[in-house]
Amino acid sequence: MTDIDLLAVRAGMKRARNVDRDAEEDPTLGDAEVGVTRKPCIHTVVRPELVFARNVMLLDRDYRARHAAHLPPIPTPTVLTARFVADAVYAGHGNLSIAAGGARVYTDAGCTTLLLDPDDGLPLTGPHPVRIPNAQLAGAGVTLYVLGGARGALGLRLALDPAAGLVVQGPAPANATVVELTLEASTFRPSSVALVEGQKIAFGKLAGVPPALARSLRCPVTIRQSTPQVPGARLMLRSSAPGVSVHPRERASAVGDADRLGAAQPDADQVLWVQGTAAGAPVWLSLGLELADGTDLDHGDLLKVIPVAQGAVSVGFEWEVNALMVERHHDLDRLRLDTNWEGIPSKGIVFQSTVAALRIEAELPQGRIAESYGEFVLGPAYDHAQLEGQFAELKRVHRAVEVQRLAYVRTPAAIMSREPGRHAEVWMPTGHRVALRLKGTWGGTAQASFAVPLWMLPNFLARFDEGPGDRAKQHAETFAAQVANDLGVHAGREATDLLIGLVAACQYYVEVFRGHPRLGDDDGPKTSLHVMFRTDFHAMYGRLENDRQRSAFAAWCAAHPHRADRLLPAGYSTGGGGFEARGPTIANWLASVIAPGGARHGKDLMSPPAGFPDHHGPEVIKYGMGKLECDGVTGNVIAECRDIPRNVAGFDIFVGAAFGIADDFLLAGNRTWVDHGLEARWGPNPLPVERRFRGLRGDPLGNQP
Amino acid sequence: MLIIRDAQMEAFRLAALRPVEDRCVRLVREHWSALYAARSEADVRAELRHLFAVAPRWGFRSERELFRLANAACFLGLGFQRAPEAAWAVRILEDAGAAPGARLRALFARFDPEAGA
Repeated sequence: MTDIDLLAVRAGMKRARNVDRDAEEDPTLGDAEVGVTRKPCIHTVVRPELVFARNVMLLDRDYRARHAAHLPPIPTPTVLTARFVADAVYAGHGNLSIAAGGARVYTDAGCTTLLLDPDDGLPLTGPHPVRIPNAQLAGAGVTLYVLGGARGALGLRLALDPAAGLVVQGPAPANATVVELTLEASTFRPSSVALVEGQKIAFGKLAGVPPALARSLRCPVTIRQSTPQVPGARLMLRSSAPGVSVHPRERASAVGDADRLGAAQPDADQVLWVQGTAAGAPVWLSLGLELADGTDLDHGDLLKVIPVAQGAVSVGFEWEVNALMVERHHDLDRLRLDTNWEGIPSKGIVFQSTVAALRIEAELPQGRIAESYGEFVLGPAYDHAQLEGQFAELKRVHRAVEVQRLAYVRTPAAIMSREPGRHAEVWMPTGHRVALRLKGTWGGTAQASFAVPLWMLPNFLARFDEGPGDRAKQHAETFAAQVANDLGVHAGREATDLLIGLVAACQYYVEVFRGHPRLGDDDGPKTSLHVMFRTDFHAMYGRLENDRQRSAFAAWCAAHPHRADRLLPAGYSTGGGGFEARGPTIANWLASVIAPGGARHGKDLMSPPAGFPDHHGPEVIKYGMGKLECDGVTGNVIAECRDIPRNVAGFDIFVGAAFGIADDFLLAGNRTWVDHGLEARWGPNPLPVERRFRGLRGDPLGNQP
Repeated sequence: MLIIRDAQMEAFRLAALRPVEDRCVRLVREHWSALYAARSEADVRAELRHLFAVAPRWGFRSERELFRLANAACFLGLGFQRAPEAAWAVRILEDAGAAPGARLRALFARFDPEAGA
């Protein structure tokens, strides 16, 4: 190193030492370690947690809010737990929001209290999240109860407020699928109409509870496949209380008709049939979902069912055989030159079976009194066994007459005179012999008289008179649907099946009479009716159960579109004196259904007597419409089908028609022999040969001379 | 769990050293400009970073220690730690038995004429 180099080194070292000395004391230089090192994290992480107990829930149709007065049960809610998880104290709040779909979130298992935002008091909706206080989210968190508000995917999110010194993780999601269950109810056949919601939930569906051994009219309910479907899930029908049963068949006699209530069903469209088993308070029929893990979600959809005691339906038949002469035989005292026979007064009972409800009445051809023909009157029958017994007895008489075309019977009671002023005189005494003489072929018109519950009338009318009857049924059901949908406006109306039955009955007369040409028959308006009510309409009105139903009926009357018109605008002959009438106005008639007035002895204006003369003129027509009240035992409405819709041209045809009708209208039990062939059932002539021959001279029906 | 890789740690370390580096660049400009006039700032910064990379192994970690080390490096020649002829200086600086300040003083003492350097 040269001297110069050495000097430079010394100068540099001196500078370096000076700088180093200054730096050692320089307060602007830090003594902390510079740079970064790996150290355990000292920040606390806070994360939200939002968990559904299951990822399936039911769609809430919100029946409870929309039909609050009827207290329908709510669907099973799905439990949701919301909380935060932190190692240190976290003072923030949570914010619950709906990211997809719709839901209602409650704070109680009964779903009576909505989760509300503590700041503005509003519930959780899609655009409106709800703040959850810190205290509720801490620890185990808050338990909430969720009902689906929209079918399909539901996404909820829980976000936490940021906090200084803490790492707050992003929102926690909770996702589920909201499943819609659908239980549709319909009116009764033959033209079923789906009930609107008000009828389903507010008014309910009547389910008849039949007497022992009798059948009920089953109400159809359709279960729809769940939407969306849940793999492995099955549908389940339950009732809130005993009183109803549900079956896969419409008829009780069908095979495989076990009660399906509480049994899991495949998740597919299907029709089941409801019937009452014990009359009492309304029950809720509910459609639920049984998940693959056994979880039951109930009350996905509802139907209110009202099991009511169903008066036993009965049917009776009348068969006029114009060729079967029913006459008094004057063997020794010839009355007229051309005959030994004399006719029996109309409605005179010439035979009454002692083993079955069968009698033979005499009928007079119009304008003639020299001869009378027979009418077989059967019934009433409440079950197939009774009906079979009556027809067996009829067949016995039929065969006895047919073999030799002549038989004798004896009057079971005195036949009174029908002559004016001599009604108290005995025309024929008890036990007098009457001849049954067949002078042609079997055949004639037949009628059936039913006693059916008022609520069954729409179905009954549609079954027996497809035109006017079906229109009346539809009119009544449409009216009921309107009432059901107008609950908010017309609170107090009640569209029960009873009301529908009464409306259908009234509307049936309107439909028939308004569309009928002038009636020239002296029998009056009844000749235009296929179904004639023997029970008067005011008596039917009396079957309504409460003021709400009566109020609803009055509202229907007041709103009837043809109320100003005459009931029979084309007119009809009143008989006898050539009077013409067009009946009362519809408004007046319907008003008389509600309040007949004392002058009419409790009858409406279309139920003579005594209502008939008020609008008809001086001629009183007997045997008319509405002569009777409701059945005194069952309360049923008595209605006459004036012409069984077949040409009854023989015994077998009559039997077939009668049993077909009996099958349709709920007679108890099963018929045992019609299906197997009449002759096979009857076998050979049931009367011994000697009796048949003896009958020619004496009494083939067993009556002693 | 958040995982920070080594490359990310190095990036964080460089960012933290940047103020020290800037101050040392001013040191070179104000006190050692004659010696390093021919070298660009980028070149100087590169040498400083290299020095600071080995400094933690020698126990120089604080801003003050790094500044004093940089000052000594300017005297010895930037990049001295890579020069074999300056290995003696490296041995003094990496002596874990003495505090960083004591080691710097020992380094300077080697050039003290009174100490016979």
